[in-house]
Amino acid sequence: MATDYPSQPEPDEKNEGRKRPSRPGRPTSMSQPPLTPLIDVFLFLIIFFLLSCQFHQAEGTIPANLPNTLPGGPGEGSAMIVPDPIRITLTPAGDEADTVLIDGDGRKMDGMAGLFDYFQECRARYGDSVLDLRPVMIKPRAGIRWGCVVDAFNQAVRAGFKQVGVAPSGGPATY
Amino acid sequence: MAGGGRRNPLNVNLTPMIDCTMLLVIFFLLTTQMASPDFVSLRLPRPHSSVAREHQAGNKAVINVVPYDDSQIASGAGRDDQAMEYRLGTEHYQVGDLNKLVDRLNFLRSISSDPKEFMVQIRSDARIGFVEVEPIFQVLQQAQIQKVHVAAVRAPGG
Repeated sequence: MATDYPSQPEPDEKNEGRKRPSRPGRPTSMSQPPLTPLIDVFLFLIIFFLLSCQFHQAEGTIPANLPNTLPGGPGEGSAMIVPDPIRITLTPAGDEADTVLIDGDGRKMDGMAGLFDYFQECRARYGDSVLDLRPVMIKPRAGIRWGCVVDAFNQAVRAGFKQVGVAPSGGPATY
Repeated sequence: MAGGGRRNPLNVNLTPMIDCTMLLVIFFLLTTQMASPDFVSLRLPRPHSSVAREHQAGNKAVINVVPYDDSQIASGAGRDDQAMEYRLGTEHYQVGDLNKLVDRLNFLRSISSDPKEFMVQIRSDARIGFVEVEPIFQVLQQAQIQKVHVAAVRAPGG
Protein backbone atom coordinates (compact mmCIF):
# COMPACT_ATOMS: atom_id res chain seq x y z
CA MET A 1 0.00 0.00 0.00
CA ALA A 2 1.49 3.15 -1.02
CA THR A 3 1.62 5.79 1.58
CA ASP A 4 1.11 9.21 0.27
CA TYR A 5 3.81 11.17 2.08
CA PRO A 6 3.93 14.83 1.52
CA SER A 7 6.77 15.54 -0.86
CA GLN A 8 9.91 17.16 0.57
CA PRO A 9 10.13 20.75 -0.44
CA GLU A 10 12.92 21.77 -2.77
CA PRO A 11 15.72 23.72 -1.09
CA ASP A 12 14.55 26.97 -2.54
CA GLU A 13 11.05 26.30 -1.53
CA LYS A 14 12.33 25.39 1.92
CA ASN A 15 14.21 28.62 2.25
CA GLU A 16 11.34 30.54 0.93
CA GLY A 17 9.30 28.97 3.59
CA ARG A 18 11.59 30.34 6.30
CA LYS A 19 11.56 33.84 5.00
CA ARG A 20 9.55 36.45 6.65
CA PRO A 21 6.61 37.55 4.67
CA SER A 22 7.74 40.28 2.36
CA ARG A 23 6.48 43.72 2.92
CA PRO A 24 5.07 45.65 0.08
CA GLY A 25 7.64 47.72 -1.75
CA ARG A 26 10.64 45.55 -0.79
CA PRO A 27 12.42 43.17 -3.15
CA THR A 28 11.22 39.72 -2.58
CA SER A 29 14.51 37.90 -3.20
CA MET A 30 17.76 38.76 -1.34
CA SER A 31 20.09 38.16 -4.24
CA GLN A 32 23.79 38.47 -3.34
CA PRO A 33 26.17 39.60 -6.06
CA PRO A 34 28.98 37.14 -6.73
CA LEU A 35 31.99 38.31 -4.70
CA THR A 36 34.54 35.86 -6.05
CA PRO A 37 35.68 37.96 -9.04
CA LEU A 38 35.94 41.00 -6.78
CA ILE A 39 38.16 39.16 -4.33
CA ASP A 40 40.24 37.82 -7.19
CA VAL A 41 40.83 41.30 -8.53
CA PHE A 42 41.72 42.67 -5.10
CA LEU A 43 44.16 39.87 -4.47
CA PHE A 44 45.77 40.45 -7.85
CA LEU A 45 46.07 44.15 -7.03
CA ILE A 46 47.71 43.40 -3.69
CA ILE A 47 50.18 40.99 -5.27
CA PHE A 48 50.94 43.57 -7.97
CA PHE A 49 51.58 46.30 -5.41
CA LEU A 50 53.64 44.03 -3.18
CA LEU A 51 55.90 43.09 -6.07
CA SER A 52 56.18 46.45 -7.75
CA CYS A 53 55.95 49.05 -5.03
CA GLN A 54 58.78 51.07 -3.73
CA PHE A 55 57.95 52.78 -0.48
CA HIS A 56 58.02 56.55 -0.51
CA GLN A 57 61.27 57.88 0.84
CA ALA A 58 60.89 61.32 2.34
CA GLU A 59 62.91 62.74 -0.50
CA GLY A 60 63.43 66.42 -1.13
CA THR A 61 65.90 68.72 -2.76
CA ILE A 62 68.21 71.40 -1.42
CA PRO A 63 68.13 74.34 -3.84
CA ALA A 64 71.15 76.52 -4.55
CA ASN A 65 72.91 78.36 -7.33
CA LEU A 66 76.44 77.54 -8.29
CA PRO A 67 78.78 80.51 -7.92
CA ASN A 68 79.07 82.48 -11.10
CA THR A 69 82.51 81.87 -12.50
CA LEU A 70 81.49 82.14 -16.12
CA PRO A 71 82.23 85.00 -18.50
CA GLY A 72 79.28 87.26 -19.02
CA GLY A 73 77.93 86.78 -15.52
CA PRO A 74 76.41 89.51 -13.39
CA GLY A 75 79.71 90.20 -11.61
CA GLU A 76 81.66 90.86 -14.75
CA GLY A 77 82.04 94.37 -15.97
CA SER A 78 80.16 95.86 -13.05
CA ALA A 79 81.63 98.07 -10.36
CA MET A 80 80.43 95.70 -7.64
CA ILE A 81 83.25 93.76 -6.09
CA VAL A 82 82.39 90.21 -5.28
CA PRO A 83 84.20 89.24 -2.07
CA ASP A 84 86.21 86.08 -1.78
CA PRO A 85 84.25 82.93 -1.19
CA ILE A 86 83.86 81.41 2.22
CA ARG A 87 86.11 78.38 1.94
CA ILE A 88 85.13 75.16 3.61
CA THR A 89 87.44 72.17 3.40
CA LEU A 90 86.29 68.65 4.25
CA THR A 91 89.06 66.19 5.09
CA PRO A 92 88.51 62.55 6.01
CA ALA A 93 89.51 61.77 9.58
CA GLY A 94 90.50 58.28 10.59
CA ASP A 95 89.08 55.11 9.15
CA GLU A 96 85.46 56.03 9.63
CA ALA A 97 84.00 57.13 6.32
CA ASP A 98 81.61 59.56 7.98
CA THR A 99 84.14 61.30 10.21
CA VAL A 100 85.42 64.52 8.71
CA LEU A 101 87.52 67.45 9.72
CA ILE A 102 85.86 70.70 8.75
CA ASP A 103 87.99 73.71 8.14
CA GLY A 104 86.41 77.08 7.44
CA ASP A 105 88.84 79.77 6.27
CA GLY A 106 91.55 78.21 8.41
CA ARG A 107 89.36 77.59 11.46
CA LYS A 108 88.53 74.09 12.68
CA MET A 109 84.86 73.28 13.12
CA ASP A 110 83.17 71.01 15.58
CA GLY A 111 81.01 68.89 13.30
CA MET A 112 78.19 70.08 11.07
CA ALA A 113 76.58 71.99 13.92
CA GLY A 114 79.82 73.95 14.28
CA LEU A 115 79.81 74.63 10.55
CA PHE A 116 76.30 76.03 10.74
CA ASP A 117 77.37 78.25 13.66
CA TYR A 118 80.29 79.46 11.57
CA PHE A 119 77.96 80.42 8.71
CA GLN A 120 75.75 82.27 11.17
CA GLU A 121 78.81 84.11 12.46
CA CYS A 122 79.71 85.15 8.91
CA ARG A 123 76.19 86.42 8.42
CA ALA A 124 76.32 88.39 11.66
CA ARG A 125 79.77 89.80 10.81
CA TYR A 126 79.09 90.90 7.23
CA GLY A 127 75.35 91.41 7.29
CA ASP A 128 72.62 89.73 5.28
CA SER A 129 74.06 91.00 2.01
CA VAL A 130 76.76 88.36 2.38
CA LEU A 131 74.15 85.72 1.62
CA ASP A 132 73.73 86.99 -1.93
CA LEU A 133 77.18 88.31 -2.62
CA ARG A 134 79.59 85.92 -1.05
CA PRO A 135 79.52 82.37 -2.29
CA VAL A 136 80.35 79.34 -0.20
CA MET A 137 82.86 76.99 -1.77
CA ILE A 138 83.07 73.51 -0.35
CA LYS A 139 86.25 71.64 -1.11
CA PRO A 140 86.06 67.96 -0.30
CA ARG A 141 89.46 66.30 -0.11
CA ALA A 142 90.08 62.87 -1.58
CA GLY A 143 88.15 60.15 0.23
CA ILE A 144 85.18 62.28 1.22
CA ARG A 145 81.84 60.73 0.43
CA TRP A 146 78.93 62.48 -1.20
CA GLY A 147 76.85 62.28 1.98
CA CYS A 148 79.32 64.55 3.83
CA VAL A 149 79.39 67.04 0.96
CA VAL A 150 75.60 67.24 0.94
CA ASP A 151 75.63 67.73 4.70
CA ALA A 152 77.95 70.74 4.38
CA PHE A 153 75.93 71.99 1.38
CA ASN A 154 72.80 71.70 3.51
CA GLN A 155 74.30 73.77 6.34
CA ALA A 156 75.22 76.57 3.92
CA VAL A 157 71.72 76.68 2.43
CA ARG A 158 70.22 76.39 5.91
CA ALA A 159 72.19 79.46 6.98
CA GLY A 160 70.67 81.32 4.03
CA PHE A 161 73.50 81.40 1.50
CA LYS A 162 72.25 81.57 -2.07
CA GLN A 163 75.40 80.59 -3.93
CA VAL A 164 76.99 77.34 -2.89
CA GLY A 165 79.61 75.64 -5.00
CA VAL A 166 81.77 72.59 -4.80
CA ALA A 167 85.44 72.82 -5.68
CA PRO A 168 87.31 69.95 -7.33
CA SER A 169 88.75 67.52 -4.80
CA GLY A 170 92.16 67.39 -6.47
CA GLY A 171 94.63 70.19 -6.96
CA PRO A 172 96.13 72.55 -4.42
CA ALA A 173 94.72 73.13 -0.99
CA THR A 174 93.92 76.72 -1.92
CA TYR A 175 91.26 77.45 -4.50
CA MET B 1 18.76 7.20 6.31
CA ALA B 2 22.22 6.04 7.40
CA GLY B 3 24.88 8.72 7.71
CA GLY B 4 22.60 11.36 8.98
CA GLY B 5 20.69 13.97 7.15
CA ARG B 6 21.82 16.62 4.70
CA ARG B 7 24.67 18.82 5.76
CA ASN B 8 24.23 22.50 5.86
CA PRO B 9 26.43 24.20 3.25
CA LEU B 10 29.38 25.95 4.92
CA ASN B 11 28.98 29.67 4.61
CA VAL B 12 32.18 31.63 5.08
CA ASN B 13 31.68 35.25 5.95
CA LEU B 14 33.80 37.09 3.39
CA THR B 15 33.04 40.61 4.50
CA PRO B 16 35.99 41.07 6.93
CA MET B 17 38.36 39.67 4.34
CA ILE B 18 37.11 42.07 1.70
CA ASP B 19 37.40 44.92 4.20
CA CYS B 20 41.01 44.04 4.94
CA THR B 21 41.80 43.62 1.28
CA MET B 22 40.27 46.98 0.45
CA LEU B 23 42.28 48.64 3.21
CA LEU B 24 45.47 47.05 1.93
CA VAL B 25 44.77 48.19 -1.62
CA ILE B 26 44.10 51.75 -0.44
CA PHE B 27 47.24 51.69 1.70
CA PHE B 28 49.40 50.59 -1.23
CA LEU B 29 47.77 53.10 -3.55
CA LEU B 30 48.65 55.93 -1.18
CA THR B 31 52.14 54.86 -0.21
CA THR B 32 53.66 53.48 -3.36
CA GLN B 33 55.97 55.42 -5.59
CA MET B 34 55.55 54.25 -9.12
CA ALA B 35 58.69 53.37 -10.96
CA SER B 36 60.15 56.33 -12.79
CA PRO B 37 63.37 56.55 -14.76
CA ASP B 38 64.14 59.79 -12.91
CA PHE B 39 64.09 58.16 -9.52
CA VAL B 40 66.57 55.34 -9.31
CA SER B 41 66.53 53.54 -5.99
CA LEU B 42 69.36 55.09 -3.99
CA ARG B 43 70.43 55.57 -0.41
CA LEU B 44 70.14 59.34 -0.33
CA PRO B 45 72.18 61.55 2.02
CA ARG B 46 70.60 62.39 5.36
CA PRO B 47 71.99 65.79 6.33
CA HIS B 48 71.70 67.10 9.87
CA SER B 49 68.72 69.47 10.17
CA SER B 50 67.92 68.91 6.52
CA VAL B 51 66.41 71.83 4.64
CA ALA B 52 65.46 69.63 1.71
CA ARG B 53 61.96 70.33 0.51
CA GLU B 54 59.66 68.72 -1.97
CA HIS B 55 60.05 70.35 -5.35
CA GLN B 56 57.61 69.68 -8.13
CA ALA B 57 58.90 71.96 -10.87
CA GLY B 58 58.90 70.29 -14.23
CA ASN B 59 61.53 72.48 -15.83
CA LYS B 60 64.42 70.32 -14.77
CA ALA B 61 66.61 67.37 -15.58
CA VAL B 62 67.47 64.74 -13.01
CA ILE B 63 70.93 63.22 -13.12
CA ASN B 64 71.28 60.01 -11.14
CA VAL B 65 74.72 58.83 -10.06
CA VAL B 66 74.12 55.11 -9.83
CA PRO B 67 76.27 52.98 -7.52
CA TYR B 68 77.15 49.34 -7.96
CA ASP B 69 74.61 47.06 -6.39
CA ASP B 70 75.45 44.72 -3.53
CA SER B 71 75.96 41.67 -5.72
CA GLN B 72 78.40 43.54 -7.96
CA ILE B 73 80.30 44.78 -4.93
CA ALA B 74 80.41 41.26 -3.49
CA SER B 75 81.74 39.89 -6.78
CA GLY B 76 84.43 42.56 -6.89
CA ALA B 77 83.09 44.33 -9.98
CA GLY B 78 83.09 47.63 -8.13
CA ARG B 79 83.31 49.30 -4.75
CA ASP B 80 80.56 50.94 -2.77
CA ASP B 81 82.18 54.37 -3.16
CA GLN B 82 82.35 54.08 -6.94
CA ALA B 83 79.73 55.16 -9.44
CA MET B 84 78.69 52.59 -12.00
CA GLU B 85 77.13 55.08 -14.41
CA TYR B 86 75.16 58.28 -14.73
CA ARG B 87 71.54 58.27 -15.79
CA LEU B 88 69.58 61.10 -17.27
CA GLY B 89 66.02 59.94 -17.85
CA THR B 90 66.24 56.60 -19.59
CA GLU B 91 69.68 57.25 -21.00
CA HIS B 92 72.81 55.78 -19.49
CA TYR B 93 76.21 57.47 -19.57
CA GLN B 94 79.61 56.10 -18.75
CA VAL B 95 81.35 57.83 -15.88
CA GLY B 96 84.09 59.13 -18.17
CA ASP B 97 81.82 60.05 -21.06
CA LEU B 98 80.75 63.55 -20.17
CA ASN B 99 80.50 65.26 -23.55
CA LYS B 100 77.32 63.39 -24.41
CA LEU B 101 75.87 64.45 -21.09
CA VAL B 102 76.68 68.10 -21.80
CA ASP B 103 75.06 67.82 -25.23
CA ARG B 104 71.98 66.20 -23.77
CA LEU B 105 71.60 68.85 -21.08
CA ASN B 106 71.98 71.60 -23.66
CA PHE B 107 69.30 69.96 -25.77
CA LEU B 108 66.92 69.55 -22.82
CA ARG B 109 67.41 73.16 -21.85
CA SER B 110 66.79 74.36 -25.39
CA ILE B 111 63.44 72.59 -25.55
CA SER B 112 62.38 73.47 -22.02
CA SER B 113 59.57 75.90 -21.38
CA ASP B 114 61.89 78.43 -19.70
CA PRO B 115 65.57 77.85 -20.56
CA LYS B 116 66.71 80.56 -18.13
CA GLU B 117 65.09 78.79 -15.20
CA PHE B 118 66.19 75.35 -16.29
CA MET B 119 67.74 73.47 -13.41
CA VAL B 120 69.45 70.20 -12.75
CA GLN B 121 68.74 67.91 -9.86
CA ILE B 122 71.62 65.73 -8.72
CA ARG B 123 70.68 62.41 -7.13
CA SER B 124 73.50 60.34 -5.81
CA ASP B 125 73.98 57.61 -3.28
CA ALA B 126 75.41 58.95 -0.01
CA ARG B 127 78.18 56.32 0.04
CA ILE B 128 79.64 57.30 -3.30
CA GLY B 129 82.91 59.18 -3.13
CA PHE B 130 82.78 62.83 -4.12
CA VAL B 131 85.33 62.27 -6.87
CA GLU B 132 82.64 60.27 -8.71
CA VAL B 133 80.08 63.09 -8.49
CA GLU B 134 82.55 65.86 -9.19
CA PRO B 135 82.37 65.43 -12.99
CA ILE B 136 78.68 66.35 -12.84
CA PHE B 137 79.66 69.80 -11.60
CA GLN B 138 82.09 70.09 -14.49
CA VAL B 139 79.27 69.14 -16.83
CA LEU B 140 77.07 71.84 -15.33
CA GLN B 141 79.82 74.39 -15.74
CA GLN B 142 80.31 73.41 -19.37
CA ALA B 143 76.59 73.53 -20.01
CA GLN B 144 76.43 76.89 -18.18
CA ILE B 145 73.75 75.73 -15.81
CA GLN B 146 73.79 77.38 -12.40
CA LYS B 147 70.55 76.29 -10.81
CA VAL B 148 71.22 73.08 -8.94
CA HIS B 149 69.08 71.03 -6.64
CA VAL B 150 70.70 68.34 -4.55
CA ALA B 151 68.52 65.40 -3.55
CA ALA B 152 68.51 64.46 0.12
CA VAL B 153 66.21 62.98 2.70
CA ARG B 154 63.84 65.49 4.20
CA ALA B 155 63.74 66.16 7.92
CA PRO B 156 60.77 64.62 9.73
CA GLY B 157 57.81 66.85 9.03
CA GLY B 158 59.76 68.76 6.42
